[in-house]
Amino acid sequence: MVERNSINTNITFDKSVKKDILALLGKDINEDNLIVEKTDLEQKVLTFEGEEISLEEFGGIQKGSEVFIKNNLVSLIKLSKKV
Amino acid sequence: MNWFDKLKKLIHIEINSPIININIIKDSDNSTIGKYDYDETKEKLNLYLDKLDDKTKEQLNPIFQEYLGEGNKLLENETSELLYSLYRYNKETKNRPILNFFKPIIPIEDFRALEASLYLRESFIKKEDIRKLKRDIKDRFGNRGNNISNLCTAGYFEEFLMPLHNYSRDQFTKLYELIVLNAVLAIFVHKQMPLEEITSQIKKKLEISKRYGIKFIHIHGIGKSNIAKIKNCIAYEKKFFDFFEKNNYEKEDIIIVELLLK
Repeated sequence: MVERNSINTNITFDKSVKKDILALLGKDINEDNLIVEKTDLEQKVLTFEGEEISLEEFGGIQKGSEVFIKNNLVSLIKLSKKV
Repeated sequence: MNWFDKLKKLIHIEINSPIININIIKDSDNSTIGKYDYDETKEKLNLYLDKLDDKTKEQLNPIFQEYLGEGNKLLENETSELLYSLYRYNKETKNRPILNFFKPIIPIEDFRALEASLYLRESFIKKEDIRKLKRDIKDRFGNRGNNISNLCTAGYFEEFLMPLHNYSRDQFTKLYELIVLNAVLAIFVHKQMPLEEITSQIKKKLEISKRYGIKFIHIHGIGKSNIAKIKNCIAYEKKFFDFFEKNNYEKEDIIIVELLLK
């Protein structure tokens, strides 16, 4: 069979490894349960809507200086309209 | 070598069949020996993060960065399912007329709540679990968003608000805020609502509605326990409900009781 190339393959992760994924990406969780930069715990990461994001809300990440995605329906509706 | 080949090399993935999805997971019941397993029917590879040593894990970040750099998204499973469902939903045109109608005439935040509520309604019709979707709308837009979500699911935007606007923009302007802020047209009975609150809400909302010439209120319930609660309420508070003409609509697990002031 012909092997698919990376263009057609996507990567997803289970809820259970959320913290691990964040750690791999150089992120940490602060005492307010918000996602922050591991190298600078004062620096909170932002979503594509410019908001802070908690571990519970963390739904994923996209490029553009690592823009975070909330798992909220309203955020995802906005994201789904971006080409 | 692209990110995919790098990943395969790093983890020693020896699968030559197509892989559409690489899902990163934990081997929670410790039932797997290897670092991954492959489901040929789904063309899906489960990668067990807890089976990787720290050195291997460290090398995942640059691979992820390359993957992201190509414009891909790294998503949690449920988020991915919802996003792809939204991509499919966006191609449908069914709800566009109602959105086009309300976009210029209601506040933008209400429009966003309505937009989300219409998707929620579609999911509800397909008998999907909508609890998180409902919570998401309430989290983002508060009680107002929750009211919009309930009113939308029950069809009030098309069946009442649209005709109202077409009949009289003035009346619409007067009533819209009332309806959305106080949800005066209806009571949506839920699991946590005590029986007494049903009549208490009816009284409160009718008080407001009467001032504006609205002489009806609907009681909505979904699910056997909420239906039973509504029926018990009407039987228990017979004297109160005798002041109304009652029309019942009941189908499967949905009940709507229409109360018209006599």
